[in-house]
This record gives sequence, structure tokens and C-alpha cells, in this order.
Amino acid sequence: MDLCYFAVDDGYAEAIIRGLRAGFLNEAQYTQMKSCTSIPELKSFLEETDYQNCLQADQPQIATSLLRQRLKKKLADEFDYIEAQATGTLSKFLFHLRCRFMIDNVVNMIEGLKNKIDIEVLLSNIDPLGWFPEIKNIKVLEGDDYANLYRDVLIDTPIGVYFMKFLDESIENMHENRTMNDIQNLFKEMKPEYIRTSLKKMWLEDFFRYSEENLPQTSKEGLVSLLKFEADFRTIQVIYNSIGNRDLNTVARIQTTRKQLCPTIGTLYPDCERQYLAAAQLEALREAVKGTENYRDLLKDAPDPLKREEFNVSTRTLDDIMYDEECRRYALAFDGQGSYAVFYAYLKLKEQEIRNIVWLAEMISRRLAKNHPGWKKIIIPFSHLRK
Amino acid sequence: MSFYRSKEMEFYHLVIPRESAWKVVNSLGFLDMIHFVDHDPGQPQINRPFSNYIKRCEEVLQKIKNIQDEMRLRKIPIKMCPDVKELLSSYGNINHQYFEELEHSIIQSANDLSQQQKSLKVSQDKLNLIIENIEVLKQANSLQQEERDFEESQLIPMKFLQIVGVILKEDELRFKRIIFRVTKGSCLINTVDIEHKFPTGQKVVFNIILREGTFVNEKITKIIDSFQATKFELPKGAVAYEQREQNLKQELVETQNLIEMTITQINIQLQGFSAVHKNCSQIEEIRIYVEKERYLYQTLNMLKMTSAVFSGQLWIPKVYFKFVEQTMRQLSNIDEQIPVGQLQQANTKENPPTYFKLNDFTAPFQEIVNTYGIPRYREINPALSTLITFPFLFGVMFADIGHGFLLFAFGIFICSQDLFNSSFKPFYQVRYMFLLMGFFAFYNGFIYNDYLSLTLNLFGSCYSLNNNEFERAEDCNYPFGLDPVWGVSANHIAFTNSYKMKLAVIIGVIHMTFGIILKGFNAIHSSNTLDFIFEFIPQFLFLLCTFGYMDVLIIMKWMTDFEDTSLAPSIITTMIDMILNPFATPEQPLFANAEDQLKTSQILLLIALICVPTMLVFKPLIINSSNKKKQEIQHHILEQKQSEENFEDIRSPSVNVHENSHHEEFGDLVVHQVIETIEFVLGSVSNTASYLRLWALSLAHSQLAEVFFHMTISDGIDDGGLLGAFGAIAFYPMFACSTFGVLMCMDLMECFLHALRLQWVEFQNKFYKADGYLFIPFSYQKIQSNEDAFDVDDTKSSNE
Repeated sequence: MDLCYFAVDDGYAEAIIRGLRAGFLNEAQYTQMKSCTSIPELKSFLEETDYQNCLQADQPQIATSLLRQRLKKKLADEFDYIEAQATGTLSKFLFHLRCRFMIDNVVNMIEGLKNKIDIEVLLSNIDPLGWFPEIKNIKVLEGDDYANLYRDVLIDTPIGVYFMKFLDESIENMHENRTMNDIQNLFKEMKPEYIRTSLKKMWLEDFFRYSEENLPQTSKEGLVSLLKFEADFRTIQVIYNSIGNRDLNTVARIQTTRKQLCPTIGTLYPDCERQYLAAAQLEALREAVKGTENYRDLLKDAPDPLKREEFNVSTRTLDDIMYDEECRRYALAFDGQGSYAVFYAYLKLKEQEIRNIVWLAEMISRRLAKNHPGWKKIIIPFSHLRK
Repeated sequence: MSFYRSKEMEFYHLVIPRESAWKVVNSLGFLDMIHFVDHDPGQPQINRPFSNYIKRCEEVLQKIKNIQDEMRLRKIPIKMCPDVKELLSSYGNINHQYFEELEHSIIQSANDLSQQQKSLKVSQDKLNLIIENIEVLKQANSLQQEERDFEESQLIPMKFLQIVGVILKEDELRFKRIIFRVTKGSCLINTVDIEHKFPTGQKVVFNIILREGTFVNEKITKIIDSFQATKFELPKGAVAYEQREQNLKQELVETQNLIEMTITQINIQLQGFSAVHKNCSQIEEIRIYVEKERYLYQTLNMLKMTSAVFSGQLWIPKVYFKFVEQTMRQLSNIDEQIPVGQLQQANTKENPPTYFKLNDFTAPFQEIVNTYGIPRYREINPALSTLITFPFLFGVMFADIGHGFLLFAFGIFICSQDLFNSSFKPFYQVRYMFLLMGFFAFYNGFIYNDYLSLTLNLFGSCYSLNNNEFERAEDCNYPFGLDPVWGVSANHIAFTNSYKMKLAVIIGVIHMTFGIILKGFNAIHSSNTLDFIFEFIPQFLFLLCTFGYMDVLIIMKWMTDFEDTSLAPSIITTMIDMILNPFATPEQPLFANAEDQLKTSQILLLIALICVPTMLVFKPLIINSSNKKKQEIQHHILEQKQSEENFEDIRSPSVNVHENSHHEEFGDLVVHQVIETIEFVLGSVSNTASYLRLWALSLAHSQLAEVFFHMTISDGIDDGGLLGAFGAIAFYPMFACSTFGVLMCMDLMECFLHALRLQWVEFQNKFYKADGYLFIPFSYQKIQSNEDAFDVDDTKSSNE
């Protein structure tokens, strides 16, 4: 039934998205990009595509980071426009999508400040999709005092909720008679990457719940299946990366960390939870997920994380396999009608495209030989649909 | 007759030595007579020889645009060029290095300009900072006064710390909140708006007062910093305060002077660009030159580059070839050291482009036809007959003496005026079309005798009122149009409906027959006997024998004077009987002799019935058999060749075989022909019915006019006297507005659209192939003086 009314409120926004579909680079264009030999050539090629306007003002020898920033800016502009056209549920939904980028920005800022990078540089590297006014105030952060940072700055922001939950959980997991010092030590040892993963997990859970409860039926179906896959992807990634990790030396520690980082949604949770939390080898992980969907096939080709040192650029890592699968699903979701999943998929696919272009720019600027395996490491959105 | 069929084209190979390519192509650009063919449309622009030049041109154009924007901002006038070609030809004998000089000087001046803008920005920032500081001092002073009073009234003296600064208005609330949280509420924040407008937005002075000795001081500084706000030190004591104020004021004046000076400098530089030279501003002149250069290089990119020569393929209209040749000869006369290269006629499998020489009158009509499809090369151009039929069909629907006259007068006005600089500019392109549309609406208004829903008694009616009955004078004919007496008769609508309906069908059948005849001409022109005999002739006969016959019946009925109108035969019944009861003698014959009529209709029906299978069967059969013959011959040759050459060169014959098998299969041919025939037969019925819109729209028009007239001024006029006059005057604005808005605007558009449909669907589908492509001359005329009008990318894409 909601399909009948979809276009009343959200038809225009969806139509814009469908129009933007034409802006995706196709396989022929990727081939041409690969044949570029210098950055100016790549830039002038991009100027003949949809990215024309966002690059025109720059020097031909554009830095990769600036290129990424420009591409992201264009995506953010499009997204801003769509958000401005959206009303009611859709505009809330789109705002939820932004939170993911906000988390990235906050963690990047924290990381940068810890490494004493200049604030101007940090601000210029912010993903425009996740910009919010308080972001510049993160500078107030003193040392590793995340609690104060939360209290002073982040409390007002959309992601404040996640940050609070994160702080609560971190402190709860400590032993009974903790002192102020212990807490400070905990923060000091905490890696920004860990913060990012936990925040994103919370966001994902929250987003999942939101989608399940508030969205119209069609959108719900589309999104829930996408988000479930993403949650499973995260879970597998966490387990996979923690196999053989030297920092996590005790069995108890490895289990708590995993438990804290693995989302509590998706098809793997809670049925296989006990198994995968305990998995110490790739084989065990494969065993744990074998009952669900086609994860076993995906993991079949993944290289063993215990031999991490032997990996080189030609290795098809788990991430590559997963991104490929993800891309296929998003492309399928993009073709669904009357569903908010389209917006989600669009954002994800555009991100993939930007990743591809930046990767190619990186390859070109390093002047790698054309038979280098890295050239093949791009996943072209919508290329799966033709097979 | 170049408008009847497109100009004959010839295909040429152009070979130019590398060093003179620029010169030759440059001089060809003034001719507007050459259509360059891209040698490889698939090749990306970047890989072409002149792409870096195009890039450079674009960069220079960007710089010029920046300068022009700056000029517009500073309200320095830019004079546009009236005639691009004249300007460009005034350069005389130059070469491609001239662009490099221009490029150099433009980049130089753009850099100067940006330098000056930068220093202007710096001083403006400084000015803003000073203004901020002054505001802060002003606010702080008044607060300090209060504070001092407060301190004096305190029993236990407490020390307070004061932090002042300026922050953006939009950050104000968040700033206050963060400060509140950090200090845990133990501070006083005060903000005052600054009236001065800053380029970054509205700003406010903030003033934080907290107890000295608290540790948060450092943190607050950090927060202020993170808001990118400015913090100002406060002078201690009244004397220091005054001194600071003095200093600041002095600085303010100095900075203002500096800014003024910089602005004058910038203005002087921009004035230089504005100077008029060769009939337009210098900057515009340069822009046009660079624009031309870019266009030239884009054209050069269509040529194929080999080591020492450029070779290109081009289409030249046959009649223009001598001009092109002449130009090239002249070029070699001017400077004998330049090798100009050569033109060679060649053969090609490509279809030639379609080119009509248009003028202001024919252009809009050609545009109407082109919107449907570009005529095939040397096909009859429907635009020729459209010149009259389109305005005429429009006129039939819009028929009204009053409205038509208004439109006609408007047409005369826009044709006689110099519209280019008036608010009527949008009509400039279509002014002659409006004139004709107005004329035919006016003319048809007389035929229908309809003047704003009234009838005009211009020549004296033939009827006179006698005892409430109309009597017709003997031997009297109303000379032109409808007798006005119908306007007051009871069966006015019934009569005009029947009259207009029949007229519409007659016009329709004539229009369609004309379309079919054009098809015949096309078949003769392309010497396609098959199409002529098995498509044109049966179609022509079919239409004439059915609906042509109906037209004859209509006219016969008009000519006959029936004593008792109830005995008059119905044409619809006659037509239906002709098909359903072909052997029954008509009860109410139109012909003098019923038997004659039966015979005539039987013969016509027979012809029409024979026509259908003729259209259907023969064409695919003949094409198929001739295809087979060809294939057999090909196979024969192939076999011979293969045995002769001992399978040596298999490649080229195999290509031939491939091309042959490209011919349509027999099944496809049959299906195609069946569709075509059914479409024609059904179409002749539905298209004839479609022409009834000529009647329907005319009816709608007259009824609307009548309603507006009766609802507004008619009562007042009927009443007469002073009251009636006032009533009519009071309602006149409503009448005028509705007439203008609904009839002159909306109904005009509606009639236009329906005329367009009749033109495209009913007329053009009878003969028009519309699968050609346009001849796009390489012409500097396209570089408009107006920035947005010229877009090379457009021409490029339509080219490919």
C-alpha cells in the first residue's frame, strides 16, 4: 500500500536520485581512466564526465587528497540538495545516514589531534557529508579526556548519544574497584580505530532499529536486508581481524573485545554468536557462519589472517571480497522501486566510485606499471548487473 | 528551389600540410559552407592533436570571464560586438601565434588583477579587525563602568576576570552553551550585536565575566580559539583606554584610504579593458578571438593527423564548391610560400547531410519540421508547403474577424518594428509566422462571418424578415462568407456545425492527398518504381475512391437545391451503404439517377478494395526475389574468387557476404508491409476524422467568445440607454481581460498545437522519411556576442 503513496512525499527526491544514476562512470570510462598516464590527464578526463564542474577551478596537477575532497564535496552537494527536497520520514532517514560520516569525522579529528596535526589541515580534510558546526570545537580535547570532550562539546551533537553509550560501556566493562586513574589509563590505551568501530556499531544498531520501527513497509524490507548484511560483514570483519592479533592475548579479553565490537543485529546474531566469538582460526570462523546465506562461499576464498605477513598487493583480501558482494547488493537495491534503500545504496555506490577514482589516481601518481595487480582492484558499481 | 529539396552535396577529401593547417581552416571559417566530418567520433577528445590548445583557450576564457565578472561587479560597461565576422575578418593576415600573445597578456593582467584583489582583501580584513576592536572597546567600557560601581558597593571585594572578543552571530548560542558547561554556570556571558555588516556575516561582541582564580581560564581561551573568534586585550584604566581608542581610529582612517587607493587602481586597470576598439570593448574583442580560436581547434581536431599532413573529410554543397576553391586559391596568392593543400572529390557510403538555405521567413517553419525529424537528403522538404498550410490550418481553427485582426495587427507590428532591443524580442524569430497566422485567422473569420461571436452584415443580407419568417431574395448570393442572417436564426449552431465539419473534412482530404502526391514525387525522384507503382498509386486511388468520393458527395449536396430538406440524403448513410450494402440501390440518391450513383460507388469500392492487396502483397515479394538474385550472384562471384585465389584472401569477400546477409529476411519484409498497409488503411479513416478538430476548435473558439460576450457587456448593450452604457463600460474590463487571456493567449496556443499535430501526424506520415541529419557549417557566425548563446559542445554532440 505504501507504494501507492510513495511518490506523494518522496517521488521528487527519488526522481533526482534516478537522474543522478546517469552520473556514474561506466566500465568503458574506467578503462579510459586506467589508460591515463598522468594526473593532469586523469583530471582532464574527469572533466569530461559528471565531475566536470567540481574540478574546473583546480590546478591540473591535483593532489590526491584534494581530488578526494572535491569528489566528496560534489557528492555532499548532491546529498544536500536531496535532503533539502525531502520531507518528514525521508528527511529524518537521510539525517541518520549522515551520522555515519559524522562519526568518521569526529574520530578523524581525535586521531589527528592526538598526532598533533594542525587543526586547519584537519578541518580541510573533513568529509563534507558529515559536517556539523561543533566539529571545530573538538579542538578543546585535552589529552585523552574523552569524557570531558563529550560533556563539553559532543553532548549537543547528533552523535552525542552514541558517544555517551560508548563511554558507559567502556567503563562498565572494567573491573569492580576501579579508580579515576584506571579510567584515564583505559582512555590512553584506547585506539581511535577502536572508538570508530564501536561508535559505528552503535550507529548501525540504532539505524537498524530506526529503520525497522519507523519506515514504510517496502523501505523497511529493502533496508533491513541491506543492514543485516552490513552487520554480518562487520561481525565477520571484526572476528577475522582479531584472529592472531597480538594485542589481544588472553581468551577472556579477546571475547569481551569481540563482544563489544560485534553488532547485535544481523543474521548471524544471536544464533552463531557463541561460535564466532570463540573462533580462533579462519576454519572455525567458516564453521561458525556456514549455516547462513552464502557467507561460506565468500569466506572460502579469503586468505588466512594468520599468514598476514605474506599478504601483498595482489592478494584478494576479505575486504575486497566483501566490498564486491556489498556493491552487488547495493546495485540491486538501487533498482528497487519505492524504497528508501535507494538513497542508502546511492550513497554507498558513490562512495565506492570515489574510492575507485582516488585509488586509480594513487596508482597513476605512483607510476606503477600497467600490469601491476593493483589496477584490477577496483569494483565498478553496477558492473554486476550485466552478468 | 533549394528549399524544396535540400542542396546537393559533394564529398571531399581535404589534405593540408601541417604548417598551413591553421591558416587554411581559419580562412574556411569565414565561408560558412563546409561541414566537417569527424574522422573517428569514438576517439576521446584528450587524445586528439589539439586538445592542449583547446585546454589553453578554455583557461584563457575562464580568466577573461573572471575579469568580466569583476567589471560587472564594479559596474564598468562592456560593449558587445554587433558583428562577429566583421571583427574577426578585420584581423587580416595573422597566424596562430597571435593567440599566444593574447594568452600571455591576459594571464599577465589576470595575475595583476588577482594580486590587487588579494591586497584589497588583506586591507579589508584589517579594516574589519579594527572595527571589531573599536566595537569591543565601546562595549567593554560601558560594562567596566557598571562593574566598578558594583565593586564599590560590595562589602568583601572580589576580583573578576573579563574576557572580551568578537564571534559570529550564528555561533553565539552554542558558544554560550559550551562556556556555561565548561564553567559549570559560574560566569556571566553578555553579548551585544554589532551593527556593521561584515563579509563573513553578522557578528556579536561577547563579554565573559568570571571569578578570578578559577582554572577554566585556559580552557575558555581554547574554546574561543576553536570557534575561530577574535579575542581582544583590554587596556587597563581610563587613560590607556582612551589612547587605544585614538590609535584605532587613526588606523581606521589609514586603512580606509589604502582600500580606496587599491580600488581606484583596480578600476583604472578594468577601464582599460572597457575601452572601445573595433566597435566593441577590448575584453570582449579578445574573448571573441579566443572563442574563435577554440572553435577552430575543435574543428581541426576532427581532422586526422599523419606525420606531415592533416587529412579531413568534408561535405560541401555543390553550388558552393567554387567559392571554397576560390578562397583557397586566394590564400596561396597572398603568400606563395604557404602550401594550401588540396581538395579532392571522393566517394563515400555515408548519407550526405541535409542543408537548406534559410531566411527569416522560412526558418521557423523549417524548425517546426525539424522538431519532428530532419529531412532525408534530397527528400521533398515538407517545410515548403508548411509555409502556407500551417498558418491556414491554424486560421481555420482560430477563425474570428476580431481576434484574427488583433493577431494580424500584432504580426504587422512585430514585422515592422526593430525588435532586437525591445521587450518583444522572443517573437523576433517567429514574426512572419505570426503575421501569416493572423492573416489567415482574419480571412477565415470572414468566411465563417464571425466577429467576436457576432455576425457582420457587410454586404447586405439576402434574407429579409417577413411575418417572423425569413425570406430569401431571388437570385441573391451573399458575395463572401456566410450570410449574416444565420447569426440570428434559431438553428445557427446546427448549421455552422454541419458547415464547418464538412469544410474540415474537405480540407483534410485535400491536405492528405497532397501528402500522398509528394510521396509519388519522392518515388520518381529516387527512381524507385516499386514504391511508385505499389505504394503511391494504390494509396492515392484508395484515398480518392473513398474519402475523395465523400468530398464530391458533400459538394454535390451543397450544390443541389432541395425542395424539402427532409428528403435530402444523409452523406453518412450514403457512405455506410456504399460499403455495407454495395448492391442496394440508394433510396435517396444524390445523383440525378440512382442507378448511376450505384454504379459509380460500386466501381470506386472495387478500385479501393483492389488497392489494399496491391499495397500488401507485391512489394515484399519483389524485394525478396531481387535479394535472392543478388545473393546468388554474390555467391557465384565468391565461389569463383575463392577457387581462383585459393583461399588466399578470404577476408574481403567474407565482408561482402556479411553485408549481404544484412538484408531483411522475408518474414520481416512481410510484417513490415502488413503494418504499413494496415496503418494506411485505418489511418485514412482515423486521420480524416482527426481533421474534424478543425471544426471542433473553431466551435470551441466561437462558443467561448459568445459566452464571454454574453456574460459581460451584452446585457448592457441590449438594455441601452444611460444605464446600459454604464453597465457595458463597467463590464468592459472583464470582457477585455477574458478575451485577451483566454482567447488570444490560451486558445491561440491550443490552436497552434492542434495545427502542429495535423502537420506532423496527418500530413507528414504520408510521405516524410525524416531520417536525415543536419548540415552544420563550420562558421564563425556561431560565435555570438552573447555568452550563453554559443556552446560548442552542443554542436559537437549533434554532430556525432
